[in-house]
Amino acid sequence: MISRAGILSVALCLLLAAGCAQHPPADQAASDAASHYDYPFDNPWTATVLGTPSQFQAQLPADARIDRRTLRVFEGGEAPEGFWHNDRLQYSTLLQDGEAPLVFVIAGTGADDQSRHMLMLGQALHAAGLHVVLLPSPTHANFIVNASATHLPGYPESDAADLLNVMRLVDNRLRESSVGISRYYLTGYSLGGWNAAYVAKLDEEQAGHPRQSVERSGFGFERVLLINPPLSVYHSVKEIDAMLERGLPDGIYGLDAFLNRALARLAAYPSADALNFQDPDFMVAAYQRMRPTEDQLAAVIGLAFRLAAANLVLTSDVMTQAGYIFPRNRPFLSKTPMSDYLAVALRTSLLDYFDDMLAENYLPRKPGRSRRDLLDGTSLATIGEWLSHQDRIWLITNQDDIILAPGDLDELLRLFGPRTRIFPNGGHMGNLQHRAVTAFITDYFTR
Amino acid sequence: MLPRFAGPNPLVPISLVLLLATGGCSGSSGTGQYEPPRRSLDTVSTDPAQARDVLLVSDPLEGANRRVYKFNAQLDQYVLVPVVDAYQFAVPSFLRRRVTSFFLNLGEISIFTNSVLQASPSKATPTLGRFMINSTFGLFGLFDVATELGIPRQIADFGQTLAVWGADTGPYLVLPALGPSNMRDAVGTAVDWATLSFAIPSSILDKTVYDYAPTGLQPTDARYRIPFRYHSTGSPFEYELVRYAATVARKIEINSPSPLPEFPE
Repeated sequence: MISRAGILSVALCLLLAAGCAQHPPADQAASDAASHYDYPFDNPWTATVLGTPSQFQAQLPADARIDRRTLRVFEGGEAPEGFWHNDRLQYSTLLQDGEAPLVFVIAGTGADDQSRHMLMLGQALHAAGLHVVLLPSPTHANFIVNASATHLPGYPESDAADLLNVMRLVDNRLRESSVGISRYYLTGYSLGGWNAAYVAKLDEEQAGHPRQSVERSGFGFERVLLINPPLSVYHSVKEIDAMLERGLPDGIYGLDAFLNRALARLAAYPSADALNFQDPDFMVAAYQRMRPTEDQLAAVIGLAFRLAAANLVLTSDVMTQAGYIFPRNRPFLSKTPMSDYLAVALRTSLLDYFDDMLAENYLPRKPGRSRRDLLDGTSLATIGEWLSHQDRIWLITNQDDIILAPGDLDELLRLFGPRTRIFPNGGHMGNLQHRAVTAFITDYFTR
Repeated sequence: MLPRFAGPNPLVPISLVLLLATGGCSGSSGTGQYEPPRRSLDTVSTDPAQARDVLLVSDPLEGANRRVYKFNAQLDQYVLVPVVDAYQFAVPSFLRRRVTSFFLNLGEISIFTNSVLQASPSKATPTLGRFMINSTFGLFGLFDVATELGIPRQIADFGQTLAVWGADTGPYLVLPALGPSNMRDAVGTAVDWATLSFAIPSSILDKTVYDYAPTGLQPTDARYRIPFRYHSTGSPFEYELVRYAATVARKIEINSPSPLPEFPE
């Protein structure tokens, strides 16, 4: 009879032996291929949905420590109980041990500081030797509730002011804990890239402003990179609404039938493991089995954005008590049934939000301006004169980015001129994890 | 993907009873006293009754369910996630995988029982083989040798058995600590736990390693395996979205064909 200790020690030896065999062989070919662009999907809809299969991805060290931190931006002003879990702004940091430049990263529409693209950007930039601060998008509920002065995202200047305010608080906190920061950089993807342009401009305007303390005379971002930004939020929302109509001709009425069909096809294949939509290789396998049409892919992308819009509209509505889709005098509690409001929110485009909620808040303060002016004001072209003289602000995007309306890419090229890197394919953010794209981004901040 | 635990937990039958008792006083949400919003179902659609149906799952116990949902989110925030974070920090991933394999191997017992109850030899045979291979060559289940040999894990639980024999899901339920379920699967979960606790032959359970099974390691591993974090969607509609996703994911799990063994060429 073998003793307990005997069994355990044998087991332990085996575990250790097996553990030593687990180290993957170093992939030497990967670093040589960093500059070679061979992203596999030429269909922009496919690229946007599937992202980058693992064999094309940049190799990043997995040991970077990502710290989730919380911040109280405004004192007082309790949020309704329904947001009990959402009482502080959440952001993340990846810090170096010694002095280094600090890069702020702004998330895209409806994304928070730890969304897939954000974690990937954070790890890549940290591996390149930078301090990284990941910030949620001003369109994310956590930001709307905790860091937006108006609780109404979408107006470029006020979003920039909110973001800059958060950046100052985070910067103060890092300096208090004696993190050595040599200079400041800024980036963001999708809507976050668009935000970054306005943040850089506002920061420059406020620099040297007497209201600022001597210590904080503006960040003076030395390098700014806009990753797949829209030219005009108005144009891009129209494009995205059209995607939804394309895949769902009956509108949201057809949503359940659409999902049921997709899930039935997915379920027809045996698999004992949970459906893992975070894993791009699972996505590729599912895609190959389901063979979705372009219209169906467009609908999926349109739906993802529509859901982000629904979250934004409800959150802004509750926080401003506008009585838009949620009754003005109804308390928003964690026990409040929301099904009816979800059904309305899914039928509410960001254009409705611009027309009804944002316009009503901003137009009275800007006499002589129309709704149309407000929509046109969401284009980077309105700050084009300033942008075209900014050698520190670069653009990286794709020839086939699906959120750009016809003509938008030409306009972006006109604004940024030679400070542009255009990849031939990749859709919207599909190629972000490709090693050549990752290499371009990290090179931009380290060269 | 969604919060669900497997394993013996004496609290659950009690909480089920409590849930059933409180469920009766839930649907007290009259909407008459509220000023209608500018955009309502009436203004965005010509057929409000049909328009309401989007992503909708019947939820007669919504009031109680939503309270339990908040309780679960708080339990996660203050207890389970900190424990899982500490576990991930302290225990190397190789050992964490061994722990997971060990408990999944124990779970084969109820997969086997239910495969038999479902009269499905195509599930029962590989499951029996898996349990025997992994419990011996796999060192009490620490290693999942069977999967590497091409014998995939099957899906079978008592909720599924009830479904196979024609039971309806019953109302949607959010179970304390366990998360989204329904009346049928809640009964199934309770029966599976009872099976594990009482029906395992002592010749199997007498082995030393199994003495460590019912410690805090099991709930830790169970929570560790599920990447879902409450309120990480950032959506004020998270309750509705989770309700929909959990319901369809479970439907798929129950209806999907059993994975076939693959034989290496």
